[in-house]
Amino acid sequence: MGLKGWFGGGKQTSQEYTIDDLIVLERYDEAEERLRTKLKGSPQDLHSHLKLAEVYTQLRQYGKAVDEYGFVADEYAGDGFYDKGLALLSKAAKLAPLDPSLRARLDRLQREKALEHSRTLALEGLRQAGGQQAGTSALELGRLWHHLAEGTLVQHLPGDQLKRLFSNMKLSHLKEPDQVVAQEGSQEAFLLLLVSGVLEAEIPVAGGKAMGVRSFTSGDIVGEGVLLERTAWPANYRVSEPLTALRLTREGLEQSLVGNPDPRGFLEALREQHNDRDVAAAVRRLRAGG
Amino acid sequence: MSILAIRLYPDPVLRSPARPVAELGPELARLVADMIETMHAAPGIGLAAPQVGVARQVAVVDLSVGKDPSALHVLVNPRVVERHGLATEVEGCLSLPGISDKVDRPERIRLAALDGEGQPFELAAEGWLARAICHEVDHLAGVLFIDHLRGLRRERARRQLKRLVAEEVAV
Repeated sequence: MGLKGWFGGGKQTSQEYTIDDLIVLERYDEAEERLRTKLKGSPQDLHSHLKLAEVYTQLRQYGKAVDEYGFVADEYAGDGFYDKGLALLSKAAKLAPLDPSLRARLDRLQREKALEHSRTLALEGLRQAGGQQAGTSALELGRLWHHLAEGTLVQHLPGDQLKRLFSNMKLSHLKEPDQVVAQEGSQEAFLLLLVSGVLEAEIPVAGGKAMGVRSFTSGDIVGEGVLLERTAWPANYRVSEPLTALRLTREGLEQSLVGNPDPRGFLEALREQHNDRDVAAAVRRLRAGG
Repeated sequence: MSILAIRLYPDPVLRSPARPVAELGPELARLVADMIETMHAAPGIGLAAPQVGVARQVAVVDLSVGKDPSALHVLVNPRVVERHGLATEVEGCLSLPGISDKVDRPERIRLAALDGEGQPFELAAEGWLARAICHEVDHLAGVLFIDHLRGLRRERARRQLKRLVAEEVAV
């Protein structure tokens, strides 16, 4: 066999190039086809999705590129890699600067990222709140957090403050329906952060009946006026649906404030819902009207 | 003997699996001699036939770059039959000038091949020799060292390759 015959290696086909090669060579149509075929076999191959996004970008099919980046961003965020997800959504936002949904997704991911940091610390606090003594599993603690995560307190207090607060609270399960946890006019100083269930604020009316003023559920705080402003409970608070709540007493509050780097912010977060004040105002209105 | 032109990425011959050598003769001897001279002139420590445009399973390796004749290995139809351990070192390639990165390779290998005269032999290699042999054997399968990179390293290599291709077009 002559040496000349060896040169060239025979007819080349594009199939011999890798997908990366095709991208480097700017043969984007072929790269897209190969990537789509590959993704049919392994739809969760994130690297291929990213390459496909890049290919769509080069082909000026920005809508498809945004979809690919968004998909991978969600997958990363789902696995806790928020920074990666944010970087990809930012990339997508550059391709579609007028798409408001991308801005919303970026904001949501930012919130989730901040929450993830809080979550770790808050779970430590919840564990100390009595979860462990009550035989609460990590899964159960996760459920408690899930209920609390959407509440304003969790949204506004940083993780270390949440840990400080939760570790000085006591987890209570109030399963008996109609159990009254606080009497109108009482000055028993405690605050409840509702985890799940329903608590009804109501006032007695003629005929031994009760009139509902307001219902409270996950994330709501009641008793903040009693604990922080030394006011009286503005209504009767009755368990309407089996309740799980975190209870903070004066002693727990004092413990939370010892060495607290931001006591003012801490107290402000506890009172910002102003539920006691609102209930008191509603009661006044109802009674004035009646 | 003559120095051959080294094929650069994205020459399709670099992606083409090389065919085994069935017939050994003066042509093969001339090819091997030219490859050795080309490798030393580059300078490089290894060269596979596809890198000079020949899609045949021939490679040369010389860690001494011509200083020690006993360090020269001619590999015809080579096969890595055993791999042990894992080592990571920075590699480059004469066909990908200016691009280098860390690549995982076996720490030790055992190779079966024919020498330049067509005599079968086995070679136990470790360290850089094992790495160079694996690199050249990869070439014979149409595999480049950049194919072993993952994640960000692969992305970086891809950007470097784009620049390389652009420079070649400009030339």
